[in-house]
Amino acid sequence: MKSLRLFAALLVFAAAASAQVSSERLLKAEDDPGNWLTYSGSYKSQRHSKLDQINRENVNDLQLKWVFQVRSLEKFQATPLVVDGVMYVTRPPNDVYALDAKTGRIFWTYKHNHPDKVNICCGRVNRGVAILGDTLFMGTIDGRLLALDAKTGAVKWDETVVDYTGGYSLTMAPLIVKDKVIVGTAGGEYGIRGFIEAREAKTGKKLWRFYTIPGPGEPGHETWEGDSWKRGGGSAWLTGSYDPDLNLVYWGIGNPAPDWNGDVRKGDNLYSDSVIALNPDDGKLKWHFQFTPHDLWDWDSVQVPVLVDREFKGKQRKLMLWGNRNGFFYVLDRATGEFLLGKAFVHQNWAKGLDKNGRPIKIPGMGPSREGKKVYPSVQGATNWYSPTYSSRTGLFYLTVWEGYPSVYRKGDPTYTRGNRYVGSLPQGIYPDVVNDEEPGYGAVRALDPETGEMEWEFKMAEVSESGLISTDGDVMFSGSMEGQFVALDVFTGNLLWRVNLGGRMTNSPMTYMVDGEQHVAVVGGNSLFVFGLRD
Amino acid sequence: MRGWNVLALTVGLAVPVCAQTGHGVVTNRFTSPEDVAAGGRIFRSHCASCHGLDGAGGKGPDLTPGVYRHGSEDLDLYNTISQGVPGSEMAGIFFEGKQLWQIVAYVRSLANPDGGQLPGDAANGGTLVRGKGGCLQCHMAGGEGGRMGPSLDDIGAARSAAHLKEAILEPGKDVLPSHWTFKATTKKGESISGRRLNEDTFSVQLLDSKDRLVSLAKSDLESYEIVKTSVMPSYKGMLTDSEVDDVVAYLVSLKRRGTAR
Repeated sequence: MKSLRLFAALLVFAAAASAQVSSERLLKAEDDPGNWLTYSGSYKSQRHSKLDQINRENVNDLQLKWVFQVRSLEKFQATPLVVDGVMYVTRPPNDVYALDAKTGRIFWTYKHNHPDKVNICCGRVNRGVAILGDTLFMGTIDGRLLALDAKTGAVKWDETVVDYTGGYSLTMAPLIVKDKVIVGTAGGEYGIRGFIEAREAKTGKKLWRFYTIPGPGEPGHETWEGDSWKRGGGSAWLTGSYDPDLNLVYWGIGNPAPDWNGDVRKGDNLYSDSVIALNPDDGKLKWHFQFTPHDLWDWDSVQVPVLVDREFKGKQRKLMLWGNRNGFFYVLDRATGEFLLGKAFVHQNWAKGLDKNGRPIKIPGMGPSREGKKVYPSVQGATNWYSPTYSSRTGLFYLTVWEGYPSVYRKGDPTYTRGNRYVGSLPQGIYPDVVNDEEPGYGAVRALDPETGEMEWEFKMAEVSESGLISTDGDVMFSGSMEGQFVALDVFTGNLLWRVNLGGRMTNSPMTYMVDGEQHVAVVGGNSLFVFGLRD
Repeated sequence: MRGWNVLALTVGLAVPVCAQTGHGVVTNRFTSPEDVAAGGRIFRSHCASCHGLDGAGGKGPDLTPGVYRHGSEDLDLYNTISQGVPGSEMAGIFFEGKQLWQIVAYVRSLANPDGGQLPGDAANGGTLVRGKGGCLQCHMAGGEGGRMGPSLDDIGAARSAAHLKEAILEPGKDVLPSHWTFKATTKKGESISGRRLNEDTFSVQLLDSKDRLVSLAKSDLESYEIVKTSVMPSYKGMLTDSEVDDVVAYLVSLKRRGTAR
């Protein structure tokens, strides 16, 4: 039996030898579910796998296969890639490991040498690598983009994208489109001027840069008062999505700076808190949609754009589904940016609703104040960067939510000094509260009907969650919580099918892959990556 | 130890005489002849095995050019010596404060930017590496080549000229475990060999002769052996002395852009 497995393994590896990850292969990633080739699993970013070996009937027979302990106390937010039996994962902040996806044993390690002092708001994190051909690409906290040999970890090129001393850092997994590597910059709390940038994959040569804060003469510049655009934020710290038919990449953009004092940046502050659609060939803007004009609460629109082709109100459409940090769920036409539907998915008290164009009708007086203003949702948002999922088998959109959590938003006086925090506020408390004087705040996984925005079901957790989701053709989905509980749910009902205590919070979004004919599910718990499969 | 704060605290408390000038630049105050001599004593016992007794390099890089890969400010040197270089054989040294600043002073005293002119012709060396030497069958340089040997892309920053010359003429003299060869026969009678990347009680991980990352269960193997010698041939007699010098000059020139400061 074991030699048979070895033979099977050798066959897999033999196949792998010629199967480099071409851009054509990336286009068809959905139909290659044994591998996980991009941050979200495919260009549509549905984080849905066609694997069904693990399903509703047998998921309670999962067992631990191996654990990878990262020996780093930074938040472990990376989604691993798996290519033909090899897993590529980053240890925070920027060390890369190639692992045997079947056993977790290490093939090679790349250790990154970075400066001691790098200003990052929320942890020295990295969300993963991208692959094209036999090259891996990683952005670093010190503003560099690296190309590594996927077979050895040797550095192929090492280019500085941006000077980290200005408060910039690269934390997202890059997006590969055709022969380009596309990344954005974090640093929204440091008075940066955000951008998305494309580099030539072969050489690292800069091809284009799109500033998320328009400069003089550019459309949208008028939405910034005075010189405030120069340090207007608009970070991009999560991987975008790509529609090859429309030839557009989509990116969620972060908060305007300073976060909690808008007095110095009067106007809508484009393209902060927006989704932008760019031509990947030249970086030109095709359309944009702003979720939260003149944001005063730090509600980055840094969520994964989920692309879905389906019927909507009786018409087949190319949609974009978006559960936003501001508490509203949106359906957009991704060819044009047209607003099709919007509905609050948690309790919120800052907007009366959305107008016919999807613009929020703000309630006066709900911004930060000197004495503090309690507003729902909290500064951590109704949801955040962790991935949602969409299953075409149910037609439902699933996301992790924080229900009933407000913040007390305070206004301070921002002072800009290069590379330092520029937020304009005192710290805010986040605490469980009551929605209607009866129910305490909680975390949950919710299923929404994109046709109506109505909730189909929810799975409630005592604690809130920073775990992303994945659904599969086995009609199960996986999630987790800060409690350390990793759970499998029924995608139709939200019923709990299986759980295990990993002893540390889930800080990434789960993924799944196949090796030697066996489906595996990988998730971070605490400072380790846990990999499960069906019982031998 | 990653934060500046911790380092500043260490430096500030343990070594109050270390100056912090206008823009936060920390400079070494332990630069007297006595300090240099004291630093030299530590250097010889802890650093010379890789960098050479005279600092001209060995397995580790030549320190005499006075420009250092991980930063040339005093504090850069302090941090590099203190914390080591991730991804290399250089570990951090267990000294701090005054003694570490004395090592910095000694390293600075080795600087001789005008010395060490290599005899070879780097351009011709590049031609030899790609042609007569056949080096790219196993080594990667500039995006082309094989993976059985270490990548040459940054070899000039990592190794000294003397060490490179020795590696060309006597490749089997100092073979790192990551370049040992694993040879196995499976229970089905297949032969597998490759660079041994990792091994534990139950499994071994290879980069095999066909450039594939392969993980094998030892229980699936009929037999195996680990070959600790180098698969690289000696170039003694294959290249002339001046050709070897040319190749060395070329290899020393292979430094990744923008890394030395």
